[in-house]
Amino acid sequence: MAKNAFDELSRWGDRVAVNLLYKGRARAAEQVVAELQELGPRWSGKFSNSWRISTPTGTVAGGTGQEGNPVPVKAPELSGADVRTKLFGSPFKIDNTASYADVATDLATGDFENPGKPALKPVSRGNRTKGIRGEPWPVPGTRGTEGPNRATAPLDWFTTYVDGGSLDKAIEKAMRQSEKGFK
Amino acid sequence: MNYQAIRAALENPLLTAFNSLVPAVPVFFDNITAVPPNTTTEYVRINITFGITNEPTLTSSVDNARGALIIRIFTEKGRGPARNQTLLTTAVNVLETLNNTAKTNAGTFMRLGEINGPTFSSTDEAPHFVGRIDTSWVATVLT
Repeated sequence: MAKNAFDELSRWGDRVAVNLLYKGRARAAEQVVAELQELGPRWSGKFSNSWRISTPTGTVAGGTGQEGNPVPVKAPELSGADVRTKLFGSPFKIDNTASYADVATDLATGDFENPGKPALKPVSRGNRTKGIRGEPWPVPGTRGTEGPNRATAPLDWFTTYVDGGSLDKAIEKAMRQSEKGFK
Repeated sequence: MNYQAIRAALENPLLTAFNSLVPAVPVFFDNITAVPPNTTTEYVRINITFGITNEPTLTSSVDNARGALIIRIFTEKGRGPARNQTLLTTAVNVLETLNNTAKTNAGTFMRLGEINGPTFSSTDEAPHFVGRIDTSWVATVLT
């Protein structure tokens, strides 16, 4: 009985410590995912809904890959084991489960395939040719308007978000808001 | 804010380096459709994107900006990575030189972050093998 009570107390203590220390980081992870969903390409919505947040012990939220407008991803609850596994930095990892994520983020080239239905975001065309996401396939004599390629996010949107300061801002804002709530 | 001065500070040394190679390698910047003479011609695509401007905490100056520099090297597919990597090295050398340039009282002071990559990719349809690096930059316009 005493052991059960101790276990319960220990679990409660774990939760309190984790909440105090990591609430801001959870909000930051959620904010970053929300911004990635908003900024990134969205044709069917599968890519936007493939962003997920995971913890060191393998708890995962999001990454459903469902079609439609983006569904907000709530960071998973952290356990004491999560915190002990990742003592420094954020215990949350953000990734995208779409098989074509490297192409959608312009980190790799890819051949454009028209999904054959209307896109959920405005579509632009004309600065790429022959369906190569991220870079035109140069065709002598063309000016880049003849190809089938379509884009629902600007080229290098992901790198710009990460390197251009917006990622830092999102984290800073979420942490500051969380600190205010704590006071 | 002088965006053009920032763009020039990044583009000019890269353009000079690739133009100095023998033979010169064509460089295409933002808003220019890459149209090399034929589909197997190697070329370089340089994209500069702007993120946050005039972030107060970045430096004491308010005339600053952050962004990303993305360099893609296009070489012939099916011939191995050597030529692509050689051209990537040319780009990285320019970035390192830029990063080691001392601050002056005028012009644009530029610092680059870590260089991500290179990563390589190709597709079934496209005739090129693509090497890619990217880095963050922070620029302060001094005049």
